[in-house]
Amino acid sequence: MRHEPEINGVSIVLLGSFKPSSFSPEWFIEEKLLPGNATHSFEIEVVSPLLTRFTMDWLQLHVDVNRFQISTLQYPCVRIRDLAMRVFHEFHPRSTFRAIGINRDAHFRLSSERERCTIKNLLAPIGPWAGISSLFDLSSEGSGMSSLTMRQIVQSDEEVNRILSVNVESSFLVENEIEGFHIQVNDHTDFGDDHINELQMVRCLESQFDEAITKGDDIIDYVMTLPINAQSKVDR
Amino acid sequence: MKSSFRAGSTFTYPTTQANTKSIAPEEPILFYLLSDSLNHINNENPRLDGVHDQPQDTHLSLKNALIDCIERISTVMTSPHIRSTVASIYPLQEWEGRVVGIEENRFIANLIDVTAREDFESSEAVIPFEEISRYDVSRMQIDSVFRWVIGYEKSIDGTRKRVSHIVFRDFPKVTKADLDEGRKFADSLLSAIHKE
Repeated sequence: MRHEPEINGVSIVLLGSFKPSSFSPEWFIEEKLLPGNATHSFEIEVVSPLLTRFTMDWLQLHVDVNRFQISTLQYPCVRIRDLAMRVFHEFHPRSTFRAIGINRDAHFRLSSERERCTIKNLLAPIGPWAGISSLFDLSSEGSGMSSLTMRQIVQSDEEVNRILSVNVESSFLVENEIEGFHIQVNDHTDFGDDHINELQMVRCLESQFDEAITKGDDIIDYVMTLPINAQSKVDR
Repeated sequence: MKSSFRAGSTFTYPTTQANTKSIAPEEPILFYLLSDSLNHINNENPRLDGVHDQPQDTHLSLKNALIDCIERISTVMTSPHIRSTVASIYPLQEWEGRVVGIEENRFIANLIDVTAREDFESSEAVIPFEEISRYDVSRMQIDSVFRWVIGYEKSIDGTRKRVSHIVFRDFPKVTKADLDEGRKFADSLLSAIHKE
């Protein structure tokens, strides 16, 4: 990617049935899934039967009764894939899953309001709304697209629904919200009522993780180069 | 073909903590628990028409109280000052390495250029042990696989520094289920060959 994000993240989300209290930091250390020495600091938000949430250096974990989410802001991001696979393959082999999501997140600081307007107008032009400007006037500063989600149906059949979604919106994680811009690419595979088992989940992550991250990088890069490409067309 | 996609998004939940004085650290959790309770009420009792055992007004008042509470908290949580609390690493170059030699103070590895999206080993590196943790030195063997990232680390206070980071990979161990699956695959292959 040519644009350097302020916050750069990757996450894996597994939907199914989980026991949040079994995913405590102590358990991860005991099973040697995470290092337990003093150089690694754990920030534990909660460990309970309903929800477990903690952070350790490069790792953020959120487990509730329906969701297992493992995230990182630090590359190499493949660590979260390896850890998710080990957790279920070695320690929870009877788990079943109804959906897998691989997310690529990037929060940027834009150089100006103009850059933001250019991206917004290229992705969702306000021209088609001009016909109702007396009712809904988008010409004033700051008006226009606030959030946009585009979807590609990658696969849709009896067994599997796979959707690639790109969400573009303002970022509240970058300090100045006027400059903050967030792009998230979600590669979602839904297995419907025929939940998949742990082995199938592992195979799915093995085959889809790298592809999802690469695709996410390319999509984010494309969106962020829109103003540059638009400007170079004008210059020509 | 399925008519519609099931509810339940795999978009990421925010994994950040609030950083302002106006938000107590436990509030994101409270927000989550309240949202979860509301989802539970909606999912378990989708019809508030008296069909269920509990009287309709009990459900409604509980639901309204939760909605009220969530709205108040969510208003606070959309503060623009919420920031990530963990440093972010942006990779400029990433390789996957395989250890091919171990010497007294260094090791030799063949590298695949992940950034260039190569899928073959195209270069060799000699890496001193200072580049990796003691833990990784102790468990390194010939054919151990690692990722090597060179990039920028952005800390929460905005400091930017160049980093080189080597992490040895933790692949899942081979389990009995893997062996069974392998055997099954070998058997099916063998029977297909015999048929021909």
